[in-house]
Amino acid sequence: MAGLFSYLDLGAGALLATNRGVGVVGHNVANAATEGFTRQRVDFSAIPGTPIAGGVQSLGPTRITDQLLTQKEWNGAGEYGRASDLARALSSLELGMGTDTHDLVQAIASLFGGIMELEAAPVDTELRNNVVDGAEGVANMFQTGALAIQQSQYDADANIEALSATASGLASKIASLNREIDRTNPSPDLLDQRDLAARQLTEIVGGRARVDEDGHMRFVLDGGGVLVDGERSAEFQTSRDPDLGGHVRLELVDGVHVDDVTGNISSGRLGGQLTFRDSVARDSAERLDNLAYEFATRFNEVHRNNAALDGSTGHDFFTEPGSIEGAALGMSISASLEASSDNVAAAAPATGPGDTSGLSDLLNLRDQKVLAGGSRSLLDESIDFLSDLGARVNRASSDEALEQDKLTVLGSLRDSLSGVSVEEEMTRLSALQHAQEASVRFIATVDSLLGQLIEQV
Amino acid sequence: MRVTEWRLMENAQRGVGNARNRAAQAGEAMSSGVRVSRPSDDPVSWAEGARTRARLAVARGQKSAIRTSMENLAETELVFSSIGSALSRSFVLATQLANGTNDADSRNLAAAEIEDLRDGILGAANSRSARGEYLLAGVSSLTQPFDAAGNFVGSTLGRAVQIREGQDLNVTVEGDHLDAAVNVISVMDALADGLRTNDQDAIRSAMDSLHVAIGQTAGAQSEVGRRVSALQLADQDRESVEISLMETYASLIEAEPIAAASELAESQIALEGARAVAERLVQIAAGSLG
Repeated sequence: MAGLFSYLDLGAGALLATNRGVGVVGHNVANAATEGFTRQRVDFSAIPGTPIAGGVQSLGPTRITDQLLTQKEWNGAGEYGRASDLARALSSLELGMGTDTHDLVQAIASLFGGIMELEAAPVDTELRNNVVDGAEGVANMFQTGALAIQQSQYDADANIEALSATASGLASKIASLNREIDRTNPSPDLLDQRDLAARQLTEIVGGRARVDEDGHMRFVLDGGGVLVDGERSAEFQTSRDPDLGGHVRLELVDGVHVDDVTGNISSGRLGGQLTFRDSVARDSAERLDNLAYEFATRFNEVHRNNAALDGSTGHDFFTEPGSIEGAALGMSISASLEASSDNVAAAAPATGPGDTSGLSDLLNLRDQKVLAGGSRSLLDESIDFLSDLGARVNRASSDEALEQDKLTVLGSLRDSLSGVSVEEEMTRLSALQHAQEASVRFIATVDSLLGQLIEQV
Repeated sequence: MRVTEWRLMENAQRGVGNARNRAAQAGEAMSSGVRVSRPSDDPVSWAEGARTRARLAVARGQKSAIRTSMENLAETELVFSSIGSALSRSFVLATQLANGTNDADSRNLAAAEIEDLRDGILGAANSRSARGEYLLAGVSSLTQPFDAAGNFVGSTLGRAVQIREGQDLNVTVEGDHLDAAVNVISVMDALADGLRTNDQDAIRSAMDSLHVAIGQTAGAQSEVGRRVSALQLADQDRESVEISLMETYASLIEAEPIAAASELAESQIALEGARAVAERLVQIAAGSLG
C-alpha cells in the first residue's frame, strides 16, 4: 500500500514538473515580441530512488543565452551608437553649409567673376556695386558656415545633456536590478531587464558591462570611470564650462567624488556627440576661420595698396580680422565698401580711375597658392574644405551602415540562440501535453490499482 | 537557425526603408537632373564640379569683360573714323584751294569749314562712352583728354583686361595717336590760317602735315582693329572653354537621363518587392500570434 501511495506522489511530481514546463512555454510565447526577452527552458531530471526511480523533477527555468555573444552585441551597440550620432550630426552640418547652388565656393567664384567684369569698365557704378555684392556674398557664406558649425555644436550640447540624463537613469536601473536579483535563484525576467538596460546604456555611453562572480553587473566607462558597481551607481552631471567655450562639460558623480569624463568617452552615442563637437566641428571651425582670416587679410593687403575711384588709397576690402579665431563669424565688408562702391580700389595709385591694375592684383589672388604651405589657393581651400566635409559625411554614413549590419548579424545570432520561435514552442508544448497525459494516466492507473486493493482488503 | 518574428519584422522594415531611400534618391535625380547635389553624394566629383563651376563663373565674367571692351573699341573706332573723314575732307578742301586762284570769299568759306571740321575733330576726340568714360583718355578716363588747343592731356597708359587665364590685353587705344608726329588740331588751325591769309606755302605745308595726320589716324584705327580681332579670337576661345566646362560639369554633376530613369525604375521595383515581403511577414506574424 505504502508503495502505491509513493507512486501517486511520483505521478503528482511528474504532473507538477510538466505543468511548470507548460507555464514556461506560455511565458515564452507571450513574450515572443518583447524587446530583450531571452527564451527560457525547464529541464527535467530523474530523482534517484527505489524501486525504479524517485520520479521526475523540473529544473529552472533557465535562460538560453551566451554571455560572450551578449557581450559582443553590447559592444556592437556602442559602436553603432557612436557611428549613428556622428553620421547624423555631420549630415546636418553639411546641409547647414549651403546647397549645391549657393555655397562658399560659388560665392568666391562669383566675386572673382564680378571683379573680372569690372576690369572692362572700372568706373561703372553697377559693376562696382556687383563687386561689393559679391564681397558681401562671400562674407555671408563664411558667416553662414561659422553659424552652422556653432549651431551643430549647440545641438550636440543639447544631445549630450539629454543622453547623459538617460544614461544616469539606466545606470540607476541596473544598480536597482542588481539589488533585486537573487544571487542563488535569479529571476530570468529580471536578468533580461538588466541585460536590456546594459545594452541600452552601452549604446549611449559605450564602455563595458560585465557580470561578476557575485552575480552583480558592473559597468565601466571608456577611460576607467565606474558607472555601476553592484548596488551603487554613479550619475552624469553636465555644466556649461567657459573653458570649453561655454559648451557642456560632462562629469561622473559618485557620492562626493566628481570626475571630468568629457575627454574620455569615445564610443556610444555620447562618444559620437563628443567626437563631433570637440573634434570634427572644432576642426571645421578652425579651418573655416583660417580660410576667412587669410581671405580677408590678403584681399585687404592688395586692396589697401590700390586706389579707389577718387584716387585715395588705404581702403580695406573686408573688415580686418583681429585674430584667426572667430574670423569667419566676424567677416563682413569694410566700412569703406559699405559706404560706397566708389571705394573699390580698381586702379594702381596715381594712375587714373580707368586703370585696372588693382583689379588685376585682386584677380591674381584667385590662383596664388598661399595656403597649406603654398600648395593651395583660396579657392582650392574652399573646395577642399567642403569636399573634405562631404567625404567625412560619406565615410560616417558608410560606418553607420556597417555598424548597423554588424549589429543585425549579432542580433540574428543572439536570436538564433535566445529568441523565441513560436513553432518550436508549440512543438514543445505538444510534447509536454503528451507527458501530462502520461502522468494523468499513470496516476489513474495507480488510483485504479489502489481502488482494487482496497476492495480486496 | 532560429529567426524570430521580431527580427524578421526589423529586417523587413530596414529593407523597406533602404528601398524607399534609394527610390527617393533616384526620383530626386530624375526630377532635378542632378546626380551630385551635395559634397557627400560623391566628394571627388563634387570637388571637380565645384572647380569647374568656379572656372565657369570666371569665364562668364570674362565674357562680359570681352563684350564690354569690344563695345568700347567699336565706339573708339567710330571716333577715329569720324576724325579720319574730317581730315580727308580737309585735305580735299586744301587741295582745291592750294593753287592761289580762288578769291577771298571762297578761301574764307573754306577756312570756316576747316574750323568747323577742327571743332568736330576736337569734339570727337573728347567723346565719351555710353558709361561716361572719355574714350581716348587712357586710364585717366574721367578727364577730358584734349584741351581747347588740341593738346593731348590724357594718359598714355591703356586698360588691361584678362582675356585668357593668365593673359592680359590692352583694350583701349589712347588719343596720343592724334598728338604724335603732328598734332591734328594744330594742323587744322594752320590750314585755316593759311586759307584766310592766302599763304600758299602755309597751305602746302599744312597739307603735308594733314597727310601725316591722316596716317596717324589710320594707324590708330588699325590698332583698334587689331585689338578687336584679338578680343574676337579670345571670345571664341572663351566660348569653346565655356562649352567644354559646361560639358565637364554636366558629366560630373548632372544625371544621365537614361541611367537615371533606369535607376528610378529599378528602385521602384525594389521598393514594391520590399513592401510585398513586409506585408507577407505581417500576415504570417498575425496568423501565428492570432
